[in-house]
Amino acid sequence: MSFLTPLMEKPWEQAGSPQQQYLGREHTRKAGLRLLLAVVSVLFVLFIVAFLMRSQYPDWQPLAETSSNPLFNKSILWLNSLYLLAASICLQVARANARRQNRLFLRFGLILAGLFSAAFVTGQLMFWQQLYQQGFVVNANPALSFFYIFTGLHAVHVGIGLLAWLGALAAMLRNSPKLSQYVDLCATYWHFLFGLWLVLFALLVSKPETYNAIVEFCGLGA
Amino acid sequence: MEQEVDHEMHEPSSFFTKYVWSQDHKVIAIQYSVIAILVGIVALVLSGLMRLQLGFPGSFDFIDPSAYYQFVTMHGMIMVIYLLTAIFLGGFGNYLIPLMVGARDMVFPFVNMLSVWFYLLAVIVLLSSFFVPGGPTGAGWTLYPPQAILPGTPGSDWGIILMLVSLAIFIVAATMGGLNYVTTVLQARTKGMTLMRMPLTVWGIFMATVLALLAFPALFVSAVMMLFDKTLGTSFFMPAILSMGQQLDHEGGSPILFQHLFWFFGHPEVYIVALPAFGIVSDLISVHARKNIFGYRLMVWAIIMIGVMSFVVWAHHMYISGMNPYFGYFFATTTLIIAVPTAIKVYNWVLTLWHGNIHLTVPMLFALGFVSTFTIGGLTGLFLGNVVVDLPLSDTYFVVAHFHMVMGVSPILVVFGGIYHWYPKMSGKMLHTGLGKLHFWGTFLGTYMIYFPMHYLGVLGVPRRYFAYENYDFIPDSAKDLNAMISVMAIFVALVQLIFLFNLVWSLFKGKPAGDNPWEATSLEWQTETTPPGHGNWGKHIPICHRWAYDYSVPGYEQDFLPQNFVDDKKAGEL
Repeated sequence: MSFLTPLMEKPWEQAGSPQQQYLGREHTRKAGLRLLLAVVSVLFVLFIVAFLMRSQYPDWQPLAETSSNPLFNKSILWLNSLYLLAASICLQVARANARRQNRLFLRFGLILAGLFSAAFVTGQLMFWQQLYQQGFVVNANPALSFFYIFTGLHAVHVGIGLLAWLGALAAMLRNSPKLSQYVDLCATYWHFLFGLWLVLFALLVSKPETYNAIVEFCGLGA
Repeated sequence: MEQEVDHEMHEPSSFFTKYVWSQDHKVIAIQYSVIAILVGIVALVLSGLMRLQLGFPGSFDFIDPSAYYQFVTMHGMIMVIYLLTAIFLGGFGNYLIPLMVGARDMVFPFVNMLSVWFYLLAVIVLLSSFFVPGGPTGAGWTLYPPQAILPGTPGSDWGIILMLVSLAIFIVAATMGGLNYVTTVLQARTKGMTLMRMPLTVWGIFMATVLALLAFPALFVSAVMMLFDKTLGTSFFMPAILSMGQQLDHEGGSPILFQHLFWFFGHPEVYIVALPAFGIVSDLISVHARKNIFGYRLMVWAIIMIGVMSFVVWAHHMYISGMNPYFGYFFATTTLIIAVPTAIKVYNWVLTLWHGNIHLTVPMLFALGFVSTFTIGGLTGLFLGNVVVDLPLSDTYFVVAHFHMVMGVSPILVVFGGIYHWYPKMSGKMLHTGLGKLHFWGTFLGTYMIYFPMHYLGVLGVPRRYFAYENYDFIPDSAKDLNAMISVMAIFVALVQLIFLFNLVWSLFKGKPAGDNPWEATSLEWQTETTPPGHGNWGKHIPICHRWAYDYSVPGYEQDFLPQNFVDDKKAGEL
C-alpha cells in the first residue's frame, strides 16, 4: 500500500541531523509532486469521460478511420511521441547519474531533456498548423475539438514542466546541491507526461468500437 | 523538552516583502480573508438589490429583468466560490494549519504566495465584468448551457467569457493553495502530532482541501469546454439550436454533459464549504464549553465519510433534468445515507454541550447558532433528497430557503465565530464583546426571519428565479406581504454587518489586549511565544505535541485545560 504510506508517516521522524532534515524536505517536495500529479490525472480523466460521453452522440466522427480523417496520417504525432520519450529517457539517465555523482551525464541528460521537450511542443504546434491548413479547424467536428483541447492542455503541462526545468538548469549553473533533487522531480513529472500523452494519443486515434466498448463497460452511455 | 530545529528563516525586512509579496502563511491568510470579505460585501449588496425588486416590485427603475438576473448570478457565484471557499481554505486554512500542526510555515511558501495573487487576479477579472458592454453574465450561478452563451441572456457577449476565465484562474489559485495545505498536514506536523491528535479544524480543512483538489478540475473542464463553445464555435455542450430565428452552427452537443460535470464539482463544493465549518464549530464548542469533544474519532471518520460520499450524490441536483429512474433511486439513496455521518456530527456537538461549562462568549453564540441553522437546513435537505418530493419543490422558494440555511447562513455564522475566536491571535486585540453580541443576534434572528418564511412560500408554490410575481392567480397577496417583510429583514441583516466591519477596524486600534491565550484553549496556535506570532511562528523551538487537542476539565489538575504541548511531570515521574 505504498500509495497510503504518506498517511501513516510520522513526518518528524525524518527530521534529526541536518543531513536527514535535508532529506525530509526532499520527501516533502516529492509528496507535493505526487499530489499535483493526482490532481492533473483527475483533470484529464474528467476530460476523457467527457470525450467518451460526447462520442455517443450521432454527429460524432472518428479521427483516424479513413484517409480523409485528420489523424489518419500519424507520422508527425509518432515523431513527437519519440521526442517526448527521449526527453523522459534523458531525465531518467540524468537521475541515475545524479545518484552516482556523475556530473557529465547528469548535465547532458538534463539539457537534452529540455531540448527534446521543446521539440515536442514545437512539433505539436506544427501539426496543429498542418491541420489548420487542411481546414480541420477546432469546430470542424466534436472529436477534433477534443483533439485540440487534449493536445493543447497537455502541451501547457509540458510548458509548466519546462519552467521547472529552467529552475533545475539554474541550479545546475549555480552548482547547487539541490540539483539532484530537482532532476529527480523533473524525471517523475516527465514520465507522467509521457504516459499521459500515450493515453490521450491512443484514445484520440482509437476506433469507435474501442471507445464504444469502454463506454459500455463503464456505463457512461445516456 | 522541546525539539530544536535548524530552520532556514529568512525574515523579510522591507515593507513590500513583509506585507505585499509576503510568503508568510499568516500574512497570506489575512490577504485572502480581506479580499474575500471585500468581494463578499459586493455580493451582499447585490442580494439587497435583488430583495428590493422582490419585495417592492416596480419601485426601482434601475432594476430591470436583465439587471436582476445579473445580480442573482453574481451574488451566487461570489458567495459560494469567491467568499466562502476562499475564506475557509485560503483564510482559515492558511492561518491555522501551520500553527495548529506546529509547523513554521506552509511547505511551499512561494507557491502559497502565487496562490493569493492568482486569487486576486480571478476576483479582478470577475468584477471587471461589471464594466464591460452588456455587463456580467446573468445565466444563474450554475451557468447552464445553452442559455448561458446565447443572446437573450444578459452578459452573453463578454460577461460569460470573463466569468469562465475568472473561474479557471480561481481554480489554478485554489489548486496551488490546496497542494500546500494537504502536503503541510501530511509532511510538516511537529513531533507527536499524530493525525488522530490534530484539532478537528485541521481535519475539516484538510478533507475539504482534498475535495477541492479533486472536484475543482470538473469545473475547470466544464469552463474550458464552454469557453470553446462560446469563442470558437465548438459543440461540446451546444445542441443544434435556433436562436432569434437563426439556425446556429452548433450541432449535436449535450447540455446534460455540462450539468453532470458542473454538479460533479458542485456537490463536493457544498462540503468544501461545510467541512471546514464542521471542524471549526467542533473546536469552538469544545473550547467554550470547557469540555472535550464528544466522540473525537467518530467525528474524524464522519468527516472522511462525508468527504468520500460527497462524490456520489451529485445528480440529486439534476432530478428535474430527467434521468433514468434507477439513477434517481441510486442518487436519492446515497443522498439519504450521507445524512448519517452528518447527523452523527450534530449529535456529538450537542453531547459535547451536555453538562458542559458553557461560556456564552461571542464565538460560542455563533457556534450554537450554526448548530440550529444547520439542523434546519439539513432536515429540509432530507425532503429534497427524495425524487418525488424534489420534483414539485425544486423550482420554488423551498430550495432557496434550504440551501441558504444550510450553506449560506450556516457557514457564514462559522466564519464570524471563527473570526471572533481567532482575531485575538491574529491581531493581539480582543473584538468588542457587546458589539459582537449585537452582531450575532441581529444576524441570527434576522436570517431566520428571512429564510424561515421562504419555506412557506415554497410550499405555496412560489417559483424561484422569477423577476416579478404579478398576474399569477395562485400566489396570494399575503405572499407578497411576506416578500416585503423578507426584503426589509434582508436590508436589516445587511446593515447589521456594518457593526461587524466597524468592530474589526475599531478593535484593531482600541481593542482590549488579548494576551497569548485569552480563551484558555489547548491547541498549539495559542501556545506561541508572541501574539500575533512572529515570522516562523515558534521562536527558537518548535513545540512538541504530547496529547490531543481536547484536554479540558481533566480531573486532578488545577487548571481546566492542558495545552497540547503540556508535559505532565507527575506521569513522567511514574514512567
